[in-house]
Amino acid sequence: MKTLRRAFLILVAGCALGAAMLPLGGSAWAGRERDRRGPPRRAAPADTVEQGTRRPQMQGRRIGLFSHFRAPSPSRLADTYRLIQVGVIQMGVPAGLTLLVLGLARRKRPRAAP
Amino acid sequence: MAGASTANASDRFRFLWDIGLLVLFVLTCVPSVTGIAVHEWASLAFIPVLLIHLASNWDWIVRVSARFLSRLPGETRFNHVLDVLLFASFALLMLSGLLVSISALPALGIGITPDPFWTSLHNTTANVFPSLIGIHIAMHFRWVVAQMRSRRTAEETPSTA
Repeated sequence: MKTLRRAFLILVAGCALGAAMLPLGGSAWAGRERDRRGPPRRAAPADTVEQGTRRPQMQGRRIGLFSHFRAPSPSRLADTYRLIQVGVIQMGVPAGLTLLVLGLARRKRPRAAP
Repeated sequence: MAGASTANASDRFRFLWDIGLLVLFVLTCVPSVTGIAVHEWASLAFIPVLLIHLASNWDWIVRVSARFLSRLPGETRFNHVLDVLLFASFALLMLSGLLVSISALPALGIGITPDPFWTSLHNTTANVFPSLIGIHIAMHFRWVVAQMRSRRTAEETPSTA
């Protein structure tokens, strides 16, 4: 019960943080973007949510540091490569560097502070 | 003795929970592999799992937050700053993900028109978040190794029951 109450508190904090960010997007930002790009084009009748799913950024292809190297047509090999990219490059490299720095710092200071 | 076994049980729970969290995180990281629908639903499932992870480490969060401005080991202070960054980037990742949702929210009857600002914010935070997770895991690598060792020891020790 205590854990749930704490989890709820954290959720509230996260929602508050998200709510504070909301004014950045939406109408204010979209207005500036519209001013920069000019008036919006009229959407074609067939421009539905279904069609939106085919947009590259909506499929998550741009998620990742090196995703622009990805072939436009997905294949099993490319997807496996993408999985390795996430694991090794995006998580493994920072983790490895941190371990290296921690190891060096602990060698200088063998006894940890209490 | 009972206190030690309770601490062990708590550590075991947290270790298993964290493994589940990592698996779920990797699943959400690759929408091109899993498909956008799995990506979005798994991300929504990630929220309560992460909240439990944070709540199970609540004592540490409160203790370190209270002592943050006084004397603290550098490593602990860095951990706390990293955790704050992780929490903020997670909140932004989830918020922007919800605001560009094309599968989960429409399925719940909430129509969203994706805004380029939230799409770019989602891409940016999605790039930053795995790196922060990598550093977070590395910072707790000793604990992870200790947990794996203690589990192996427990498996090798014959049960007295």
